[in-house]
Amino acid sequence: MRAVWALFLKELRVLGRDPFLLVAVLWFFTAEIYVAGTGIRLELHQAPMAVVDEDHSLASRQWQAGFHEPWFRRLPPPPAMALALKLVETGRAMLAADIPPRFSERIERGQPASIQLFLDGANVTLGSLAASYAQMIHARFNEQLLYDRLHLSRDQAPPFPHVENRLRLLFNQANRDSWFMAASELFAVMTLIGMLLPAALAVREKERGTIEQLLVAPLTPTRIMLPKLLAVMLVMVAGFSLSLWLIMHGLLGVPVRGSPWLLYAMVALYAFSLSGLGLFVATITRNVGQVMLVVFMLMLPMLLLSGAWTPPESMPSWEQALMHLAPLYHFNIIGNGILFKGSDLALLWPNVLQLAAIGLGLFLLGAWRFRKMLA
Amino acid sequence: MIRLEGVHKRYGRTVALEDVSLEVPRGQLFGLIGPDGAGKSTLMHIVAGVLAQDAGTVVVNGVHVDSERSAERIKSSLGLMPQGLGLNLYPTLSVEENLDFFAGLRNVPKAVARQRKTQLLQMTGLTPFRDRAMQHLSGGMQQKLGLICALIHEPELVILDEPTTGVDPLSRRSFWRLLAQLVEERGMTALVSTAYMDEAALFDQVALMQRGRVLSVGAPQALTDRLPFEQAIIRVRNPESWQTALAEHWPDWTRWFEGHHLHLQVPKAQRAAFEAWIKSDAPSMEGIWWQPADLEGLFLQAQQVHKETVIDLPPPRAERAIVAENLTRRFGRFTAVDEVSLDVHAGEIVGLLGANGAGKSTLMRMLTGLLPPTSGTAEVAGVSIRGNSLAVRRRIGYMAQRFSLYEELTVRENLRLFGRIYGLWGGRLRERLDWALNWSGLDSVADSRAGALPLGQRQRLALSAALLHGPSILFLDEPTSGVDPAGRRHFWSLLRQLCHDEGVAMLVSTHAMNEAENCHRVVMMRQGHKIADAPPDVLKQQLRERRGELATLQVDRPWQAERVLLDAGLDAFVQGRQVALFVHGEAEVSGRVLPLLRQEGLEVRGWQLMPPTMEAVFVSLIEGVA
Repeated sequence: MRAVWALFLKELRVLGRDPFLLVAVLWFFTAEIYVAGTGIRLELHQAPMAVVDEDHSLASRQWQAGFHEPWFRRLPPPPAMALALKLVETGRAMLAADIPPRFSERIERGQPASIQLFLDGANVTLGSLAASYAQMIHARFNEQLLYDRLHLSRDQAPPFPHVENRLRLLFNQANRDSWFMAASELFAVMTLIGMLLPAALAVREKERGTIEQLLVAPLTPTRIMLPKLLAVMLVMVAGFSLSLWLIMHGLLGVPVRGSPWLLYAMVALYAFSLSGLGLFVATITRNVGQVMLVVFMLMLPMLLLSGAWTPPESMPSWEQALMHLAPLYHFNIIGNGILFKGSDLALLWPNVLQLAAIGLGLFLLGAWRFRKMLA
Repeated sequence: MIRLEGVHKRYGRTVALEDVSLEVPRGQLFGLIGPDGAGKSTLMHIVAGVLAQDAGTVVVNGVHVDSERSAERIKSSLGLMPQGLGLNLYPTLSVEENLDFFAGLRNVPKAVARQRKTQLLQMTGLTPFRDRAMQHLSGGMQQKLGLICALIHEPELVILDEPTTGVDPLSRRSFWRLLAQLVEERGMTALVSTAYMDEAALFDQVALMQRGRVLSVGAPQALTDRLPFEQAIIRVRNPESWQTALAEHWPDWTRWFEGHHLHLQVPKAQRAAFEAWIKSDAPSMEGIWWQPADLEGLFLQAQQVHKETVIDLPPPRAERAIVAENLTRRFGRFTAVDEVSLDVHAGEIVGLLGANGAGKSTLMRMLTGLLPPTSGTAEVAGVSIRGNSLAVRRRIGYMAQRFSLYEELTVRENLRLFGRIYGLWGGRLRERLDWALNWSGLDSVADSRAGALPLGQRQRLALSAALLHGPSILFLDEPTSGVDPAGRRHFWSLLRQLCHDEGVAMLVSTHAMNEAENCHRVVMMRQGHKIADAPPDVLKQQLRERRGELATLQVDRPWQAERVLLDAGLDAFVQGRQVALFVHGEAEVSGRVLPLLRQEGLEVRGWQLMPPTMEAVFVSLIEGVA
């Protein structure tokens, strides 16, 4: 046990004296989270829009007024529709609208009027967002026309049947992107570091030849492996704390609604689950460079299957089944649950159990390969 | 070719070069010698334009090297081979592919490249291996390939940083023969560093460096002639009585033992008095030979290594620490170790010699439990190695060929870590730690990071770490490879002390033949087979009976002399600056050898009959069977 302790201290020292690893870990757990939290937005922001108004009426201006900041940004009106389309083609505008002459005249007369709206659909997410925003703006505009026609004011109850739309968001009432983005990024970073670190620590012993000195010593493979895993867990818990309390809670105002202790226990469990994968990577690589490559190769499918960037429900069923095998999928549910919803084990146990099972499986695989490599 | 004036270079606070001025004439084989960390590599890198000097003038091939652009200009006219086996090569490429790559890199026209390639491959004897991947070549072959890759563009200057470190004596010899031939035939200039002083003796000029300064420059002959002493080699019966006698009568002379051979630096002025003393007062001896001072003497004098306590090795004990029977290890179809049986007794130092790739490391790795044998059995400390038991591992210490401690940790932290791994704790650990630091002379660097130490100190640290837990069996795999003569001597006196005081059994592999003299017994391996297993004296005696006496001739051009003698059907080889050959009696030398050389215009400045050296034994056994 004393040997394990001595090796554990050694791992921490070696880590602490490696400027590259240290800076990488610090960066990932702080700046990276902050940038993700503040920099990435899922909503439409200042989408450039070119409008060719050939009507110049009150109604045409009212329609345009619906597309306002911060979601849309109006470009100086181009003189002709062809030019507006050119702007969309070159990517300088996301939307181009053509309001035909006599637009207001037709409305006045109670005739259907049309506006031509072009949307850049190349970026599917932004395109569909802009489309749905435009539809909503349009619906409001039509509603307003109805009110005007009936000479009613907006605060009066309308004399026609309708369902009132009053949404209330749970857990993240203000619908702040930063919370979700920062949390997703943190979990992704933990996945990266959780695989990279044990693999790098193990492969470095191979690279430098220090493994031979350990192998001729009276140490079992378990005693060589265990200190590394403990050191990685400590780094993960420390990095997570730094990120959670300083960046997320301190700077971004993310709430911690559930038990912090449960959260820490889950972080440790997650670190354990990934370490098996890290050890496995160490057995099939020869140097830290190769470790990086393999870890990044594993990272992409892990992220895609995590459900953080893509709703699980919209995936094909075979991929949905696959997601249940991805540790990050479960950890996302557990982490978000504890952070935002204040969930406890009574609610999360199916995911915790599955994560533990996957982790144990991966660990056994990694440990088995590692022992075989040492033997 | 190269002119340095007042060159300075520092790394942070450490001074690497201080006011270095040197001139290397065109067409010379110029050597750099000096202890680890003397600044040899830094100097070579500055000349190669890889590093920039802080101050001073560097002129290479007529170009002032003072900027990136001027450094680029000289690069086409030079070839560089960095320190370390095959480090400039690509392990997965074949011999030919490596050569093609370098030819392409240097823009050598295809037709020219093809012609040079054929020629260089033939010179190095690598033609049969042209399709073999570099990583499957032996160390000696890798080194030769590294050299010809650096030469494919026919540079005017080659810079070779310790090209023969970790290479066996035979390959080393053929490497220098090849380089000498290239320098002579193509008028190339070579700047070379080495840790082997006998190799340096063959250079046109050497510069002795220490702590970033050049202490002396000159032809080896001129440098050693200037030394105020000669070297006496005395074969003694009782080293300890000689030790006391010397301490009483000649206390200031530098001296060391290689086995039962006392090496003594006798001041020229006192030689007569000393010889008189030997005839009257001295303890008994079996013979004395005089040799002019050599570069090793120069080196040790500069290092101020003086008397060392001489330790007479007690005979080994009866109990056997290592017993191996018919050990075999195959890698695929290749048999690395073939039916080797071997034993090492408690308190015995056994030297393991052999060319690169002879199977020494594989044998050692099997005995330490790192590698399971394909067949055969072995017991270490009375327990079979197949069980790979923890109890056995507690009793052995192993020092790998490569430095395998943690470079990020300090000396003390490394030692403490390994102490704890072996179950030392608290007061006992502190006690062993103090002992190890003190014993290895590493006190002063205890808090420096291991990675920052020069090679000699690193090797002592590795040895200390392997010893901390007081093992009764030690495995040392080329522990002194690349270590300078002073460091090597220190290292071996530590080993002998250990054997003497604690009765540790040791299996040591080495490429330095004079180290083998320190062993009780020598096991020689060739292509996986054991071909000899006897005390050094016995091997030398056998050689004498088989081949005659060893005559050493002092000549100015040893390579030519060797050629002439070989052509005449004589068994000659270059040893240091001398040419050695086996003869039957003095008459053969004066009657046949001397006239032969004189005929070719080679002047012999002196000669004597010597007892065969271990190097001669090695050469005759390894080459003789081939």
